[in-house]
Amino acid sequence: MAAREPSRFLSRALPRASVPSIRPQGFLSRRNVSDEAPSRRLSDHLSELESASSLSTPVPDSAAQSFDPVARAKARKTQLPRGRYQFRSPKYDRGPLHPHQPPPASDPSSRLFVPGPFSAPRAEQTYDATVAADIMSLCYVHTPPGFTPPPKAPRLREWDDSSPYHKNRVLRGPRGGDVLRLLRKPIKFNNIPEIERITIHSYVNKAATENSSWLHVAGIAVQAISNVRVETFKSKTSVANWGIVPGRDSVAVKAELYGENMYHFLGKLVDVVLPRIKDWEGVKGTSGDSSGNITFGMEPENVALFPEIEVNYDMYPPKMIPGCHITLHTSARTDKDARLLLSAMGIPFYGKIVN
Amino acid sequence: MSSGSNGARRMVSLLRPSIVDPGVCRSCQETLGRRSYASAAPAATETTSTSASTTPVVKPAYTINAGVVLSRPPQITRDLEPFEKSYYFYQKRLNERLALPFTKYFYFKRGTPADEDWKKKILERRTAARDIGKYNAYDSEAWNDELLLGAKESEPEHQVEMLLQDAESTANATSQDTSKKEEIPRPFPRVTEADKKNDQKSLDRLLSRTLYLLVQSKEGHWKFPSSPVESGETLRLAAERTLAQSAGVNMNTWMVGYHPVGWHAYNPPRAKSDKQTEVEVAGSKIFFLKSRIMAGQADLSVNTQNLKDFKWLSKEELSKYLNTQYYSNIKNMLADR
Amino acid sequence: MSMHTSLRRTAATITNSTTTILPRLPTQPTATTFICSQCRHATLLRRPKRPYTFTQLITLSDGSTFTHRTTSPAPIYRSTRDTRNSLLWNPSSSKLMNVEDDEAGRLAAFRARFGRGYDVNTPAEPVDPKDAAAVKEKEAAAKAQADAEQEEEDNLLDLISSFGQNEAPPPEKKPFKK
Repeated sequence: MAAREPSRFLSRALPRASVPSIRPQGFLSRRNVSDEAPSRRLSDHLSELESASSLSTPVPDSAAQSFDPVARAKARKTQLPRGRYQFRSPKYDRGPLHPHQPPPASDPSSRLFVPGPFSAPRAEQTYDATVAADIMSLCYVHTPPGFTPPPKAPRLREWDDSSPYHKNRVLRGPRGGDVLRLLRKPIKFNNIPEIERITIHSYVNKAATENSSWLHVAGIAVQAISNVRVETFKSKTSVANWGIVPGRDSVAVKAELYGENMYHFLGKLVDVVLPRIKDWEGVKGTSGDSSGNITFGMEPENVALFPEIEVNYDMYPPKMIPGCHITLHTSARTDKDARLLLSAMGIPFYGKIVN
Repeated sequence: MSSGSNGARRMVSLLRPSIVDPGVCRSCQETLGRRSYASAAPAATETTSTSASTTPVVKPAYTINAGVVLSRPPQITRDLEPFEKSYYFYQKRLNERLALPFTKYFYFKRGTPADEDWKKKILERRTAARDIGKYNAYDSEAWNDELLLGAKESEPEHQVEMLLQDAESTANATSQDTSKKEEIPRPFPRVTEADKKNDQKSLDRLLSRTLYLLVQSKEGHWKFPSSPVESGETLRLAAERTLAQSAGVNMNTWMVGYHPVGWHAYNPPRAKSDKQTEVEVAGSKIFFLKSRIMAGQADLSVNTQNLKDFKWLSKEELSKYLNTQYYSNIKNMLADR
Repeated sequence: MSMHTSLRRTAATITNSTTTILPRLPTQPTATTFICSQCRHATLLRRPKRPYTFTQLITLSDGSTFTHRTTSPAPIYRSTRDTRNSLLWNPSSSKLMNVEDDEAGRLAAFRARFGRGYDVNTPAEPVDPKDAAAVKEKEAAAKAQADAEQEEEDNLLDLISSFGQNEAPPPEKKPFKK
């Protein structure tokens, strides 16, 4: 160890470039993925790739001018029958051993194919560029080198072997309730909270007490605001004064939004709809299921503020526009993190904040 | 209550000077001091023995600096790549034949001017959507769904222009007053005046990128605003003071958290010794805190840190102004966009 | 076919073994996990139903625009009230605060002429805007009136009962008794 240590005299005598500095400079020689060093090693692989996008490579004008697929198709004397060049997916899935296999759902010729995305949503870009990095620096908890977190008590309690029947019993839940809450992991680059999906749910009790037109209108309204076909649900509980019997009456509609639809809905909700609600203070600070999903309700007159419903408000039967509950499912494990994310995305909270 | 326990912790850390490791900062030492006494005691003996053997001489100390990475987040959406534009356009045309058809009479009542106008436009563009060009997914030429070279239809600007033209023609066709022409204001350009003039002091430049504040010292080198942490000052307070002393108070800023997001160590060619304390100074370490500017503009006229110029630069431009070593240490804490 | 029968057989043996331990109830269905390595039935591949969506341009009140996908056929949507001019999203904006700024002094002039809601019982004076003396007099009166208001401010409710009558001296505040 001592032999490696350079003397201070030597370090002064030699020019700086040839002498190791006083502190070992490990951090200066560290190599990152974004450095050029790996790309130099892979240079021969990379040279095989085209450097320019095929969309920007120049094409001679004559070739571009003369290319007319429609005219070429029309000039053809004999047309092949459709079945010779057009693949149609089988209508039924007949199991893995059947000779006619449907293509995978990601194939545009599949019957299950869903096209998209059609745009890069603005809310998603905000999240990627600004919000995610800020949340990560806000939630950083520093653990010094050599720090070991104090041991935690087990979440499930063991049985004291006071009775012979305790042997091989499954462990007990925590005291004061059987619910095991989600464990909050420290927020790192790979688990920054993000919005996973949005659920729009509307319970229409008049669909059971009066007629089904209430449910149809609710379904159309929710589909209009969410771009997603709704599912209907039957009641699970019986409500005596509305005459609702479980399993008989369809009383609720629900739309689940993912990906592009979700971000477009969130952007529209935050930027256009919520500010127009009269005397709205924000989402209640007590809302949330304590595992990172925040729900708030919208009254029928507020649902009517959506631009999609405004554009043909007259077509909806009067008084039939439903209210709804909007649940924002985040990948945060606690409500506190979820609120941090949602308030960064522009949803205000008010009142007592319960985490 | 909390101050009392803090005081107690400080007392404990004072009483046990043996576990103080020069490689661990003060707040971390306090955290380590929170461990149970039983586990701390053997660790203490180990550290003393190793430190005694390896460092016979007093190590030269570093001065701790607090730096501020003041950034303006992107103001507009990013420019799409050519591949993305083509992809989105192609998916839209695929969607034409896979989505349910548009229910026209739910939106336009029969016989109204809006309905007549809609019919006329459908004949013209052959589809309900305005941003996919002339394309009908149900006719015999539906297979011809790819764009030819040089077509403008996949450009977002062109699509927005189509929307605006459509809105204008609808307004003109459905209004009673035929003499007046409806003009809808076009969106603001994505390239601003500051971009055209390449005014690097303006906050209006490069709206789709994150901009970082870079200051130039009187000696001429560029850096993020930074200054030594004074005694009894936390890193965050020092960063706030640095920002106020260098770029002025005419800014509405928000410090993101209390923790540094990156650091840089500066080793001068030869170690100097401080005259007052007789401690050898090996160099300086700068710990950068993240900050966002909400309003205002930097102003160096009243700065007390020997600065003469500032610039708002994007990540690529930073590399041209900063020292290579400095840039390689900070580049990973900067946003890609 | 042989695979299928073998599957059936395993299912049957499981139920048989359960019957040896527990006598099967007549109404209870046999609960066996059916491993579907070969399904003989065909499942219909239903095309997912999605409503038709348009691209719409939204213009916010400050002129910023963005496009989104929506079911509405309107090409543009101009919003008059949004996050850019709502107080809830701009809590520090003085422009949106409901503070009445009286730059031109018209509000003060109106108040001086017609008074406020709670000083109706003070006698109104004849006001001639052309007469400067009258205006001065009015100002003095307004000053006196302001002093009176200071006294009155805490018992505004009394005004309702004493409307149109002569001004009664404000009742003395009684100290609380314990």
